[in-house]
Amino acid sequence: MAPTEGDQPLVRIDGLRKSYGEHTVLDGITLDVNAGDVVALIGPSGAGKSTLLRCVNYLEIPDEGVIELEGVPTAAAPSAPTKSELLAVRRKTGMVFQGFHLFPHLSVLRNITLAQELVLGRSSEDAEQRALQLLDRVGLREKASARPTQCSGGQQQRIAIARALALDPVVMLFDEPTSALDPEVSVEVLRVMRELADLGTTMVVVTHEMGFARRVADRVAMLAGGSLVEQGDPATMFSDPQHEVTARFLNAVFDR
Amino acid sequence: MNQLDWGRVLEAIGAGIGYTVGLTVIAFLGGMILGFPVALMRVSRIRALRWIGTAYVEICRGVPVVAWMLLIFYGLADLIGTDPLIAATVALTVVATAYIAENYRAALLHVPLGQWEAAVSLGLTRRQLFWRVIAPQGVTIALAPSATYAIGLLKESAFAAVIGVSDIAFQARTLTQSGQPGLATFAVAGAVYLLLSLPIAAAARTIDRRMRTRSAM
Ligand SMILES: Nc1ncnc2c1ncn2[C@@H]1O[C@H](COP(=O)(O)OP(=O)(O)O)[C@@H](O)[C@H]1O
Ligand SMILES: [Mg+2]
Repeated sequence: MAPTEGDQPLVRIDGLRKSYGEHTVLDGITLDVNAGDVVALIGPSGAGKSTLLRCVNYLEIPDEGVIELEGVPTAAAPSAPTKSELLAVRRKTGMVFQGFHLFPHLSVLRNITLAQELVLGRSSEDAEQRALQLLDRVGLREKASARPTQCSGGQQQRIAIARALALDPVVMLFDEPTSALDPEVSVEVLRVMRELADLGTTMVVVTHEMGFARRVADRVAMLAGGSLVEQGDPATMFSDPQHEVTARFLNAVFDR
Repeated sequence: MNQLDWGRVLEAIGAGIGYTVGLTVIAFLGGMILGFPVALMRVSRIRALRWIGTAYVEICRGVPVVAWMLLIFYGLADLIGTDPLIAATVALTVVATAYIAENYRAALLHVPLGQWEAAVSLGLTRRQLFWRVIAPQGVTIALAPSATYAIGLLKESAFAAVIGVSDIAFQARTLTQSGQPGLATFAVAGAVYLLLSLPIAAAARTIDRRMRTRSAM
């Protein structure tokens, strides 16, 4: 069957390798993410989950492999992306960090409008309108003129999500977005993420929130020792893991 | 001879306050402005600029302020004439620039890595990242240590007396030379320096406290 525009994966990662000196962190990762899908990346600490996610937007430069967005390689030579390739891929991907990293010297609204104006060239009126709309979506419109430090951790993370969404990325990348938060605060962030998933946002989420993975993810991918051990739909994988490492990891996580 | 003439001492020292404060304020503001480009050189990706910045900082900090005053006073006499006030202001500004540049440099490096990563992930160019995200935070972080440094600057300004600027120290020395008791006169002068430093110290503490609450998560 000839591939058509529709069934091509939105994100295609093929043969991705990354080492720090002698230490191989990603040992040939191959992973597709279809448009509208939510993929949960799980695995033990040090497995290379963050590195994989950060390679997708070249926050880490891979040594080898192919990364395609919408069927187009994001860099001619992934180990040496050009400036314009870097800017293009970052415009198309939204990144949310464990530590939020809002800009403390700017108001919440300005945090969300800054890159719209600088990167997309939107007028300040358009950027502001979009920012307020997104603040509405994450339930924080009343915080528009506050400073980030006047917001709780959960609120800051929802603002960080709005900031990333404001550039209309084709895929959202989340690196343990709730790991720095108390469980009762995590809930509000996970709710926002779930709503995004329901709206059809393509998402790759590194997470230890197995409840979220089970309910929201279309697919779970298990990473260990720099390799993608297995992937599948959450129900099957959680009840019937194919690999010993997966079983051990899931036991450890669910026992907690 | 041993009796302090309060009226005379206070009047003379009062006349010196203007010079001391003026010198300190101009050198501080000059250092805050000129220190930033020097700090930029220090963190530049261009090796030659880094080298120039480092050389400037090390040379200006390594030579005592009083030596700078004499050097500029006598060295530039042919160029700008023998104006002790200009020489003292230039010397103090040169040194303040070096110290404050180091405050800026440390502050720029102190901006958390996450700020860089967030800005880069949003697609900001290096230039935008620096001027919109890193520099504003760096400048604010540098405020508190620089305000503390201003106290040191106030005291260093006393070396201007050596080349004949009629600041507080100069006035005190002149008073003792004309018969006022040394210990008491310099005690008064010292007390005036102390009084002048208190509001600066208070400002430094306020800035520091503000910064701490603002950067707290
Ligand atoms: N910048 C770096 N330099 C050296 N080693 C690194 C660097 N970043 C990550 N690593 C190493 O790579 C491995 C994978 O890290 P990471 O991707 O953060 O794992 P995970 O997110 O799954 O916990 C770890 O062993 C970590 O120590
Ligand atoms: Mg990680």
